[in-house]
Amino acid sequence: MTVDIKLVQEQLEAVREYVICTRRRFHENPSASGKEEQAALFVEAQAQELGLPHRRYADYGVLVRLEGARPGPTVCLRADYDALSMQESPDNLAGKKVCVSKEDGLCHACGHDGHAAMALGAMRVLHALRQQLAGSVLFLFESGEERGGLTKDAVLAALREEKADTCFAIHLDAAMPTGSCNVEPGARLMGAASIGATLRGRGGHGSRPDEAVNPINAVAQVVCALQGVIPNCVVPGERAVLSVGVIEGGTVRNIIPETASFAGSVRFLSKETGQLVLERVSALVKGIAAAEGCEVESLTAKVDLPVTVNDEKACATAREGIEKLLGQEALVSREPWMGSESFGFCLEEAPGAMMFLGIANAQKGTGAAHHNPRFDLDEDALQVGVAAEVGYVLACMKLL
Amino acid sequence: MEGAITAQRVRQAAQEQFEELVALRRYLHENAEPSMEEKTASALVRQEAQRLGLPWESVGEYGVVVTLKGRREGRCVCLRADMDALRLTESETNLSRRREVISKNPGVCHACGHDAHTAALLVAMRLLTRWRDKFDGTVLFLFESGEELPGTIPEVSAMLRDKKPDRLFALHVWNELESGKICVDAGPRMSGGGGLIYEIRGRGGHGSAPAAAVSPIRPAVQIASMFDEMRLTAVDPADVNVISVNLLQAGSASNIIPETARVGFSFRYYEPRYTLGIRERSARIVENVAAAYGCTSSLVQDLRLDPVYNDEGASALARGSVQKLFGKDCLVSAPAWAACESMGSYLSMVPGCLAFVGIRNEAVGSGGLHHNPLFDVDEGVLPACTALHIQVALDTLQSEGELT
Repeated sequence: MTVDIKLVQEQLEAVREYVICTRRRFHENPSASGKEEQAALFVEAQAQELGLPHRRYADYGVLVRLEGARPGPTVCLRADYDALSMQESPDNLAGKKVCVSKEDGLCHACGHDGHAAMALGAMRVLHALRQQLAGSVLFLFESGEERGGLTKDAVLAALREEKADTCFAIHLDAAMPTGSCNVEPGARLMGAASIGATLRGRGGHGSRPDEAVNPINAVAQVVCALQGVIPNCVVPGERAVLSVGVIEGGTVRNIIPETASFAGSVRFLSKETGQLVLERVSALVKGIAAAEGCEVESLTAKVDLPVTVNDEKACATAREGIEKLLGQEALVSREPWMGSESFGFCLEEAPGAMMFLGIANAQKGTGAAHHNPRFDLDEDALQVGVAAEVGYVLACMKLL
Repeated sequence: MEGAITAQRVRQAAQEQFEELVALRRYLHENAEPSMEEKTASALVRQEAQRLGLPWESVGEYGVVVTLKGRREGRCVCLRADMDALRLTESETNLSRRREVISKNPGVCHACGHDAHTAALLVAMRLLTRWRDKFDGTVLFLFESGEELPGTIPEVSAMLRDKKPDRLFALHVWNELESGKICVDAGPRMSGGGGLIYEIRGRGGHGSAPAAAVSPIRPAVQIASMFDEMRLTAVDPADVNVISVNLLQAGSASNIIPETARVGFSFRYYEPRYTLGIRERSARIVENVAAAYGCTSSLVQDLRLDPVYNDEGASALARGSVQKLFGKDCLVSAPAWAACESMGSYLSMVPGCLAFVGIRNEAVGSGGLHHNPLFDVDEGVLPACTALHIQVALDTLQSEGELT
C-alpha cells in the first residue's frame, strides 16, 4: 500500500517557509552545548502544537513520538541542536549572512540549527501523513553532541525504551554543493579516542639528575614513540590519525618534577584499527615508563566516539526515498568525513544511516568550514533534507 | 758476575743492550701481528726462553709465561708485556721525519708501543737469567696475546690464580710524557670500561607493509636515545665518565624490514662506586623498550674491563726503583689515562702497578697519539724500560719485612 507521492510533495512544500523560519529562530537564539533549555522548550512547543506525546531525557534532550495508523517499524529521526562557544562573524564568504546569532560568544557554526529545523519540518509532514503511516516515528533531539556524546547513555536508553528499529540523521556538509545527498554504506565518520598518561618519577634538584627520576624525559620519549604508531602498525589504506595536544610537567627550571603528563587524540575509521592503536599506545607508555624508572600513575586509552557506520540496507532504503522524492541526480559519492559524531553510538544500537547534505553555494557565500566563524548554510538545502528524512520513514514503512 | 746487583749495574747492563733492544723492537715492529695472531712474536719469546733454558707455558694460543727461579724459594713477582699490534696502516712518517722501521704486514702496525714492551721485557728476562743466583724467589715473565681486544683475560687470570704471584708489574710507553719521565702514581691510572651490544629482534617483512611486521628499528632508535640519557641519570656527576653510543646496526635495503637491530655503547670510568648502575640501567631500558614494541632482546656482547688501580705499596716500591735507577727528577705525576688496559683485570687479582714511561721526543718525531698512524716510540727509552722491569723485580723480591 503506497502513499501518493504528489500528496507527499504538497506536504513538503507546505513546510518550506516553516523550516526556514525555524532554522533562523535556532540560529539567532543558540543554546549552549549541554544546556539547551531554550531549544528544548521550543521543540516541546512544536510537538505540543501537533498534539504529539513528548518527554525530556537527560535534562535537555527531547523525545517526540508519532504513531502511525497501522503497525510497523519504529523509525528514529535524530537531530542535534547544540551550538558552539565561539564568536560568529556576520559575514560569510560572499557578504552578510541572512541571520546572525544574538548571543555573544555562542553560535551555530556546524549546521545543527539546520538539523533541528529539518527534523521539525519532517515531524510536521509526517504528522500530516499519519493516517497512512505503518509504524511509529521517534524524533530524538540530542543534547551535548559537540561535547563528544555527552548524553550518549541516555540517548541509547531512550532508543531501547522506545524500541527504535532504525535511526536516521542528516549532517549538513560545507564541502558539498547545495542539495547534494551522500548516503553510502560503511564507515562515514571517524571514531575518536582519547589518549594520555601521567608518569611519576622522583623529584629532585636540577643539578642532580642522577639522584632523581625525571618524568619529563619519560614523557618526551613517549611522545616521540607515539609518532611511529600509525605509520608502522596500521595497515595501509586504513585511515587513522594520532596527535598529541598537551604536554605538561614541572614548574621551575631547576627543579626536577615528580610527575609529567601528556594528552592526545586518536581518530580511526575501523573499530579494529582503533583498538590496535590504543593497545600499542598503552604498551608503549607502560614499557617506556618502566625503562625510565617511572610509574604510570594514570593511563587513558579509550574510545570516546565509535566509527559512524552506515548499514547497507538502511542506505538502500534512504536512497529509495531520495530517488522517489528528489530524483536520482541528488545522490553523490563522498569520501568519509574526517570528523566524528556521537550518532555512531545510535547506529551501533539501531542500524541505520547518516546522510551528508551539501550546503555550499559560492554566490550565496556558503561553504566556509564547519566551526569557522564564517560558516553559513544555504537554506535551500533544508527542504532537501526534510524530503530525505520523510522519504526514509516512508521507505522503511514500505510505503513508496 | 760478582757481588750484589746495584741499580747502577742494572742501568748500565740495560744500556749495554741498547742495540739488541733496538734490533728486537724493530724485528717486532716489522712483523706486526694483530691481536690473537701473534705467531712471530710468540715464537720469538719461546725461542728465547728455550735458549735461556727456562720453562715456559702457553697462555692462550700465542701468549707465553716463562718461569725463572732464583737461588732459593721466596716471593714471586710477575712482569708483563703485551705483544699485539693493531689493524691500522701506519704513516711512512712520524711527527717529524721518516720512520726508521715500518711494518711489512699491510694493514697492521704497532701503534701503541707493544713492540717496545715486548723487546724490553725479553732483554730483562735475559739479564735476570744471568743474575739468577743473585736473588731469591721467582720471576714470571708474561707475554700477553690479544691485549687490545681484550683477548686472553680469562687465560691470563687462570694463570695468575694458578701461580699466585705476590706482585704484578707492567709498564706502558705513553706519548703524553716526555722521554726521560716516568709516572707511577697510586690509585686509578687507566679507566675501567664496558662495551655492551644488545640485539633487538622483531619480525621482518616488506617495507610496504610495516603493520604485518614488527620492526626492531624503532625500539633500537629509542634505546639509543635513552642510552644517551644515562650519563646524566645513572652516573654521579663527580665521576669522570664517558658513555658513548657507537653502534647502531640494522637493515640491508630501504624496502626490507629487518629482523634484528643492534645497539652498542661503551662506557669508561675510574671509580666503580659511581658507575655501578650502568649495566643494570641499560638492561632495564632494553628489556622494557623492546617489549613495548613487541620485540625480544638479548645481550650479545659484554666486554668488561676493570680500571687500572695502582696499589699504594707497589707504586711506592716502583717509584723507589725509578729513583734508584734514574734519580727523583725522573718521576712525575700525571692525570689518569682515559683508555683501558687488561692490566686492570689483573691488578684486581694481584696487587701491583702499571708504570707510564714517557716517549715524546721531538728530535726523533715520537709523540703521536696512540692508535694513530703517526704514532712512534723513542727507542732511546728502551734500556730504561728494561732496567725498570729488573729493578722492580729485584726490589720486590728482596725488600725487607712484609711487602706493603
